[in-house]
Amino acid sequence: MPLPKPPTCHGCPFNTFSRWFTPDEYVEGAEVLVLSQNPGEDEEQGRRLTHYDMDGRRSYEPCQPSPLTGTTGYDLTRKYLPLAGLERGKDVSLANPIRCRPHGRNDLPPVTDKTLRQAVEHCQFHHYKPPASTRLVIAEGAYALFASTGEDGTESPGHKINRGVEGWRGWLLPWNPPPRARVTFNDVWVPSSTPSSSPWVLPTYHLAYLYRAPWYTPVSQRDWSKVQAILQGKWPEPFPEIHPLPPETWPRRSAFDTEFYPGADGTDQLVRYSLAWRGRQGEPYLHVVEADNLVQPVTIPPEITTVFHQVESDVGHLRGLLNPGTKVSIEDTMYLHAVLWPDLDHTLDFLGSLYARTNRWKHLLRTNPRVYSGGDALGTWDSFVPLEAERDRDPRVRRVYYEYQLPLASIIHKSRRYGLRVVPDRVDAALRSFDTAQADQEMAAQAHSGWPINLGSSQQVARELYEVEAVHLNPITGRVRRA
Amino acid sequence: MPKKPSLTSVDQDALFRWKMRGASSPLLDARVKYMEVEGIARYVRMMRGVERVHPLMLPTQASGRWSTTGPPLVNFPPDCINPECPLVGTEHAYARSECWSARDVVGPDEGWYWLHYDLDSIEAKWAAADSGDQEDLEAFSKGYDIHTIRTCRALRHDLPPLLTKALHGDPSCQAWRDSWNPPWSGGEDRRRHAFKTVGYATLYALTAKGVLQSKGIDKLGMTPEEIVKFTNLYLKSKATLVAHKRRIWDDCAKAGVSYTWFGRRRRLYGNWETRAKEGWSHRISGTVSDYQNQIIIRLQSEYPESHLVLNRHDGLDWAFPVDTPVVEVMAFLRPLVERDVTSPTGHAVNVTASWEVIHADLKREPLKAIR
Repeated sequence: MPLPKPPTCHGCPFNTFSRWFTPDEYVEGAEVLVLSQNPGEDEEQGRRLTHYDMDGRRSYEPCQPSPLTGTTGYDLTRKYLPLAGLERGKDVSLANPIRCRPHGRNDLPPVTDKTLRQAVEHCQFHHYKPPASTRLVIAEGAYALFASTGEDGTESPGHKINRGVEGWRGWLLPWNPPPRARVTFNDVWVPSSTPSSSPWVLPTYHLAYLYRAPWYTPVSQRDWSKVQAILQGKWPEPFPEIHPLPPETWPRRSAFDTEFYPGADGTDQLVRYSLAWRGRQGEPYLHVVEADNLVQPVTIPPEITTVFHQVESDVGHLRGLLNPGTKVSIEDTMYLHAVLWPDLDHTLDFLGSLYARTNRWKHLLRTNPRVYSGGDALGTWDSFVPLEAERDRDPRVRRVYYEYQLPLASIIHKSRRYGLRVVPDRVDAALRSFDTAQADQEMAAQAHSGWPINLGSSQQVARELYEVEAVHLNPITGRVRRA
Repeated sequence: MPKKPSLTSVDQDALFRWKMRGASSPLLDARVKYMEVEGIARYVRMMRGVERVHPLMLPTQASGRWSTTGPPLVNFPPDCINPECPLVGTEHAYARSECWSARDVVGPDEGWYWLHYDLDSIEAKWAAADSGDQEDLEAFSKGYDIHTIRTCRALRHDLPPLLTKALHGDPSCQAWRDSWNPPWSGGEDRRRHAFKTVGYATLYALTAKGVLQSKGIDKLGMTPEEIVKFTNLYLKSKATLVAHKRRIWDDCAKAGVSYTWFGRRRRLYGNWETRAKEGWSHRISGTVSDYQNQIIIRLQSEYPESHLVLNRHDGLDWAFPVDTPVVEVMAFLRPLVERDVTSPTGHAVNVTASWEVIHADLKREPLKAIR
């Protein structure tokens, strides 16, 4: 049976949008809490999905209204909690930042919506009472991320660095719920090893999202697999000390990255480079060298292997640092990841979220450029090591990487450097042609609709198509057209 | 990240979906055409007052495809947009010497020329070789008009006395052309065009209805019901290909992984249908990517002074200095591109391409003339 909303819901902007309330499921002594989104119909009505039969039909049993009892909860309990070494009802609490179904629907307004934010704050303030033992909150999706950290995808530092759930997924953040001011990160955040009243937050995709984007399933699995390492203090490792000078001896195998800006003469002006590798015991070595210190003499072996992430932009600078005869074997984590996991993203930020041994650094682009730069080299190295092992397990993939993929880097770089000549006369003529074609279509649309509709206006077209013409409805049944 | 489709969206994909579900509205058609033009015009506008563009190419898409952005020149259509062309406004590509398209707003520098090729029906050839479809393989190897043959097979009509593209005008085929009702109208005959479009769409669709999701199918001038009917007729005439595809679908869906002929791997996710479809698509489309990558790498190695212009997945533009004779380049490149390739199932297919040189004065010269 559904539960009516308690009096504490008064004052919430969503209070009048629905009647029913789904309380959290807290487990005393649990160190982990899964924060999801808002209840579905199963959660609200108090139905627990127990199994699927051979034809995919679902069987339910009645239960108290509680979070994650439907399809998502079924997958969470059977597939993801075991990856995290957790068992439902025993050592993990479950909660939603919104505990009702506004208008009887699962969908919520976007996380940037003012009313939604007020509702989250109200609901969390009145109903979020986790056990004191909670050390880690797994924030599933954008709403949970906002409710636990205030991060909502805005205020990107640039370079397409994402501050929504896509960007923070797989990294660790401090607990900092709204209405507190958002954290300004000046350094790589490392959770304190001393017992603290504030839990840590591990954002990940909402499991329901994986039904739409199943190729992210292994990514989510990896996030959930991190839980025990986090609780045991094994991940993330502290960010290593940065050496400001080059090493006395250049390592035989290392990762390399540069920061530069385009100079007036068309060449890239180096600002700094970073060099990272790990020793046999996994101990990190990290050098971030400003352009002023480039003259520092180093011993360079005749043959080295250097790992880049998108080699095109960095390899020229590396060659400038080395002896002319030094033979450089190139590896590239972007190309390697594209061969191994073609459906996933291949940015270093994304690779780091899967493989880095330290916490996120990419958001420090503006606030701490040296750490940002060092993180790029160390993150490249940390990503390369497991990817290299994976590559060598499949000889076909290894062949594709070395023969059909990696050699393209220099070809593409050369092509981009040349660029293509734009033909001004053709551009002008093409635009005239486009204007004519668009004007023709607009005239046809205006003749049909009977008013000066602007075909470029999505609002006007949507109104005419859906409200006036109702193209989405079947004229006979009056229902939405089905495929 | 994929977003949930909105019920009231007016983007091209949403309107295409409504159209394929039977919605019919002049306003909808006008909006689709308007947005198609806008999709290109917005990039061309950015090129006004710019001397050079430096497109960013990344060969890291799923199935090994390349993405080209800033601007996405490979997505520019080949349709003629020359305001001076007497045919402008009608759908045609390079039908006349004065025709040029949005692709031609960039051109070679002085002292350079671009060599361009398009692989002929490469994905259909890969599919034929993969499945061992002898009729298609024979048609490809002998240069037959495969779309007319498919039309005859599907509609159970006699084959013409000539099977090459000459059949559309040759007097020896007049009786055959007249035997159709209405009479066969040549290379652009509506039935041939329908089976050509359906044939390409069917290559990757799981079912006849799945063809309705293919881009460009709405321009066929047929209702969704007619398209499905044509597709079913077509599929009945391609038993070998259909059986082979079913086998590959099942293998891919079960294994959760697909490999191209050259070994590029793609893991597969989702339900059986999604895994099956993506698996087959990767096997064919990814093989084209690998084939192109091999050519690009060999070409750069042989001509270090030349450089890549654009990789169009099944076509390539490459810049050479004018002191590198076209004949010399072709002696190296043609055997590299136009050769027999054997599929993992043991069937060989001959790759062919159409070639063109683009000069610094923007004149396009088909390579046959140079030969």
